[in-house]
Amino acid sequence: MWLEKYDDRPIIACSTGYESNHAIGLIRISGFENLNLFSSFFSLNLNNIKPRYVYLTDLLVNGKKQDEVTLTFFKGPKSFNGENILEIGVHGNVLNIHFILEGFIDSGVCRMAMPGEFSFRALKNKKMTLSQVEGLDMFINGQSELALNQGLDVLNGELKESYFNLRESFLKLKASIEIAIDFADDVGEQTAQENFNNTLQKFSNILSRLYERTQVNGSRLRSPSVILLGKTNAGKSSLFNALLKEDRSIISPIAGTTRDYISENILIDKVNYRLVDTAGLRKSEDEVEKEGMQRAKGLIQSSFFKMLVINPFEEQAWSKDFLSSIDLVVFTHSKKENFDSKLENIQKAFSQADSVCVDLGGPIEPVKSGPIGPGENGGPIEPDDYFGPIGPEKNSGPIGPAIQQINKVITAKYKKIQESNPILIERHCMVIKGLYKSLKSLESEVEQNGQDIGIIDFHVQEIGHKIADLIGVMPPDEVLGDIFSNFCIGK
Amino acid sequence: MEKSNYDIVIVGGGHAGAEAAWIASDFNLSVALVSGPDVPLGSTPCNPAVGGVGKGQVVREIDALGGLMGKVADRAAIQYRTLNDSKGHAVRSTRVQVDKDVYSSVVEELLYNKKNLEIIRDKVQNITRDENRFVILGENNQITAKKLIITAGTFLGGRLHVGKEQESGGRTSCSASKSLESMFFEVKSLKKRFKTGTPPRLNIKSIDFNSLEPQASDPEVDCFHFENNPRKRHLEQVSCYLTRTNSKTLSIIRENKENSPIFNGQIQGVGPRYCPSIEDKAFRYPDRDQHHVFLEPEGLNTNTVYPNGVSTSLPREIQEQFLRTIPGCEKVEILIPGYAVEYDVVDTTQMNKSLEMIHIPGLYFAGQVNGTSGYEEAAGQGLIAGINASLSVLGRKPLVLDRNESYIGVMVEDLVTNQRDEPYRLFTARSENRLYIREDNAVLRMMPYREELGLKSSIDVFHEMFHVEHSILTNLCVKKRYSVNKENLTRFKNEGYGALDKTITLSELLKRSHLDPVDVLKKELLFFGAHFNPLVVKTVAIDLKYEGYIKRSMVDIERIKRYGQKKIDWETLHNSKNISNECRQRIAQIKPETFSELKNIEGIRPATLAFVAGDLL
Repeated sequence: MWLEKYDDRPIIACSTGYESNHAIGLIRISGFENLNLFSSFFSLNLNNIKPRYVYLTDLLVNGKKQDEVTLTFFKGPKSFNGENILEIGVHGNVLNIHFILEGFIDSGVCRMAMPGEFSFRALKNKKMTLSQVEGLDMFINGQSELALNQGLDVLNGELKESYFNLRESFLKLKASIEIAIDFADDVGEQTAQENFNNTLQKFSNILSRLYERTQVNGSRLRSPSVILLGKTNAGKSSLFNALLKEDRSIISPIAGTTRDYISENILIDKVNYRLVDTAGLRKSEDEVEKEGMQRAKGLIQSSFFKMLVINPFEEQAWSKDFLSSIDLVVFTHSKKENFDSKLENIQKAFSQADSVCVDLGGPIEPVKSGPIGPGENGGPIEPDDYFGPIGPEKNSGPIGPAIQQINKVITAKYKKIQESNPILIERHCMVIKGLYKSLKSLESEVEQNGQDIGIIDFHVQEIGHKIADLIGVMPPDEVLGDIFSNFCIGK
Repeated sequence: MEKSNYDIVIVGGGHAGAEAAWIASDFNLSVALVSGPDVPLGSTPCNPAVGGVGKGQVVREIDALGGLMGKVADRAAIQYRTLNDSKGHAVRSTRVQVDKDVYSSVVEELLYNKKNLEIIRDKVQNITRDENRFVILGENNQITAKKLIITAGTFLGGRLHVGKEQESGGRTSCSASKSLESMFFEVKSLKKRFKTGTPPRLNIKSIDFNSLEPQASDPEVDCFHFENNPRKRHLEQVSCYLTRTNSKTLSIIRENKENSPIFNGQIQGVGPRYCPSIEDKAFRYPDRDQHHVFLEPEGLNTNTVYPNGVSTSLPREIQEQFLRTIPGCEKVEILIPGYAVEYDVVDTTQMNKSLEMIHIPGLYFAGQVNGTSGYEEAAGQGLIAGINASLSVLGRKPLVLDRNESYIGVMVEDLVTNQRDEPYRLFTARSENRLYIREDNAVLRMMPYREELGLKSSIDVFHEMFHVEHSILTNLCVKKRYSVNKENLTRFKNEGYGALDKTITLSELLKRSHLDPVDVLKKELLFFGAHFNPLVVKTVAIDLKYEGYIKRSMVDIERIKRYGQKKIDWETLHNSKNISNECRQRIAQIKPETFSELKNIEGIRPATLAFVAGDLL
C-alpha cells in the first residue's frame, strides 16, 4: 500500500550498492528534522556538528561499536535532494553494510528507502527535473498492482510466480477472516474456522519458502564465502595461499597452527568471495582453539561453498551427512608415491562431490584432476572439458590449471544458485523478513488467542501493510469479491 | 393548494428521511417531511430486523449522535441477539428482530410529536429552483426550502417484478415516483439501475414450527439506546426458527429458469452479490442444495412470517411450490409474494462528504437512492445529511466523520469517492480500524462529534457521565496493583486468574489472553465494592484488553491520515498538463479535496499520485 509513502520517517539506503564488497560504502539518511535522532548511533556528540565538514566517529549498533566511519551532514535545502542528509562512509564489506542498515532500521528510527526515493525527493524539492530522475518509475510503481504486471516482469519468472502465489494466498487468508467475522452465519461456523486454518497454513507455507530463500541466498550470495575444510595438516592453508596467490596463513608442519580462521577476499569471475581457512576439525582441550572451532562450525553452516581438503595418505572418516554437504573435494599430495592407489582406496567415499587433485608441496603443481562420480553439486560443468578422466598418467605443470578448475566449480555453483533464487534485492529481502516475523507472531497469537478474531485480524492487517510493499494493495472490494465468488453469502 | 416555506424539506419518510427530519428539528429550524400518502413512515419493507455485523455499530453511532434508530429499535424489538459472540469482544454486534408495525408506529409517534417538524402526506410531482430556494410541487402542496434532502429509497422510477408480471411501484402496494430526471432535470442518475428483492411473506398459522430449531432471544444483550436500562425489554420476546432447503426445493427453482425475471432478461438492474435471491443461489452454486432459511415472525400481532434466505421474483405459484418442499413449510400459505424491485440510483461521486451535490449546493441525497442497501446504512446517511443541511442553514462548517472512528465515516467516504457497481452494504472488512470501531465504545467515539453540533439534550448529559466514569475507571485499573501476598494468591487461584509471581496491575490482568476482560472487571469491582455504569465497565475492560493493539494500529493510521489529510487543489490538477486526460476527467468529476480522496478514486494512475505527492511530501 502507499503506507511507506505515508511513512514520514527518514529513509536510509546504501548508495554504493549491496552486491559486492568495496573499499568503502556510502550510507545515506535523508529527510530528518534533527540530527539528535541519531545520537545513540555515534560516539561523537552530534550537537556540535557543522554542515559539510567530515568527522571521524565510531558507529554503534545496539550500543556496540560496529565500525569506524566518516560522517558528513548536509543541511537542507543545500543538499542534493533538498533535505537534511547524513552521509556515512563505512567500510565497504557487504556484511558490515548490512549490519549497519539493519541497526538503523530495526531501531525504528529510519526506514529502508524505496528504489528511486532519494531522487524522487530531489524531484519534489525541485532539485532535479523529471527527466533527470532515474528509477522514478520503480518508485511510483513499486507498490501498485502495476508492479506485479510490469515491474516484476524484470524479475526471474519463478520469483514472479512465487509473489503471485503469495498474493493469492494472502487474499484467501484475508477473505477467511472476513468470512469468519462478517459471514459466519452464511457459511457456517465450522466451515469458517476450517477455512481460516487451511488458508493460514497455505500462506505460511508459501511465505516460509520465500523466507528460506532470503535466508540462504540473501546473505550467502551477497557476501558468499568459500570455506576450506579438512583434517589438520591436510593442506588447507597451503591451498588457501595458492588460491590467494600470496602468503597469508602461517604455514607450519606442526598440526593445529591455524587456530581460528583466517579469511581473505578473492575475486573469481567478477564475483567477490570470502575465502575462509578453518582450524583443523579435531578434538582439542585447548580453550582458545575450542572457541575457534565453535566459530568455524558457524562459518561452515553459513558458507556458500564448502571445499574439503583431503590427504589420501591419512586415515579418512567422514560422516555421510557431512560429505553430502561438500561441494568440492581437493586431494592433495598428488605427487607423492602411491598416490593413485591411495586415491583408489578412498575415492568411493567421496564420489558425491566434484574433485580435483593437486600437489601443494614445494613448487606447487597440479598432478591431475577429474570428476569422481556424478558430482551433483558441480552444476552444468562438462567434466571432460577440463577435468579429464582419472587416469594413472601423471600430469605435471604449474598449479594454475588446477586453481582454474576449482574456480570454475565455484563459479558454476554461484551461477546456478543465482539463477534459481533471485531474492537478492535488498528491499524484497527486508520485506519478506519483516513478513515472516509478523507471520510468526500471528501464528503464536492463533495458538494463544485463537478465539479472539479481532486480535488475529490485527496481525493479518499488519501483514497486509507489509505485503503491500511486495505485491500491491489489496482493496477490500477485491477481498469481498473473492468471498462472493467462492462462497454462497446471503441468507 | 397549500403554500408554505421551510428551512429544510425532506422528501421521503423511510429510515434516512426519518433521521434527517428528527435531527434537523433539533436545530430549532423549520422542517417539513414530505412522504407519500400510502406509505407508512419508517417502515421495514424487507427483513424485519435492525443491526447485524457492522450495522449494529452504525445503530449505536446514530444513537450516540442523537439519532432515532436505536430508540425505535429498542421499543419495537422482539428478539435480541449478539452475533460473533464466541469470537472476542472486538467483532461482536447486536441484532434485533423488530415488530414491523410497532416500529412504524413508534417512528410516526416520535416524528408527529416533534417540535419544529411538519409532516406532509403528498406525492411530489416536480422540483425546481427559484433563486436560492427549492420549490417542491406536490399534488396538494407547493412548498419551498432553503435545503432539500431527497431520501426516495427505491421509489424513483421503481419497477416491481413477480414472474412475468411487472408494474410500476416503489414497493408492494405503494406506487412509484417519477424518475429523477423527469422530476428534477438538473440531477442525473447512474446509467445502471439497481435491483433488490424480498422473499414472500408466509402465514404464520400455516407453518409447523415443532420440528424446527428455535433461536431464542438473549436476555443478556444490551439495548441499542444508551440511555435505556441495558437489559430493558419493551415487548414480549419471541424466537426465530431455522430450517433448510433441499434438493427438491432447488430442482423446482432450476426447472423454472425461464420464469425467473433475473435470468430471462426481464430485469436489467444489478443486484447485490451478498444478498442473492434463491434463484441466484440455485444457478451460481449448482452443487449446493442446502441453504439456511430463517423463519422470522414480523411482529407480535401480525400473522406474517419473513423467510430469510429465499428472496425471489419467481411467479407466485412456483414460490409456493418450492416453499412447500422445505421442512415446516409443507402446508405453507403465501400472503404476499416475493418480488424484485428495480430503481434509479444517484451518482454519489457528485457529492461531498456532507452528502450534498457539489454543483447544486443545498441539495442532499441519503439512503437507498444513493445505491446503498440496509436500513442502518440509510439511517446513518439520513443523519449526516440532516445534520449538514442544518449546519449549512446556520452558516456553520459541516460535520465530517472520520473513517477511522466510525462506520458511518467509512460509508460516506466510500460513497463519495467511488461509483458503485452493485448496492453498497457496510461490511466490517471495509474498515481499517476494526479493533477500535466497536459497539461498546460508540459513545466515546461519537462524543466529540456530538459536541460539535452544540445541541443539548439528555444524551449529552449521559455522554458526560460516561466520559467521566470512563476516565476514573481506566485510571483505577491502571493504578490498582496486586502484590504477591497470601490474600491475592488465594484470590487469583480461586478466580482462575492465572499466576501471580510479581506485582501486576488490574489493567495487566485484564489483558491476559485466557480471561474475559469484562467478566474480570465486573468481579473485581464487585469485590472492591465500587459501582460504575455497566456500559462503562464493559468499554473500559475491552479498551484495556486491546490497548496495545489499538495503539499500534493507530500509529499506522495516524501516519496515513497525516499524509492523506493534506489538502490538494483539484482545479490546478485538472488544468495540469502533466496528468493524463482520463485522470483529469475523473478529478473534475470527483473533485477530491485531500490526497486520500484522490488516492481512493478509481482509475487514478500511480503517476498522477506521485506527481501530486511530490508537492505534498
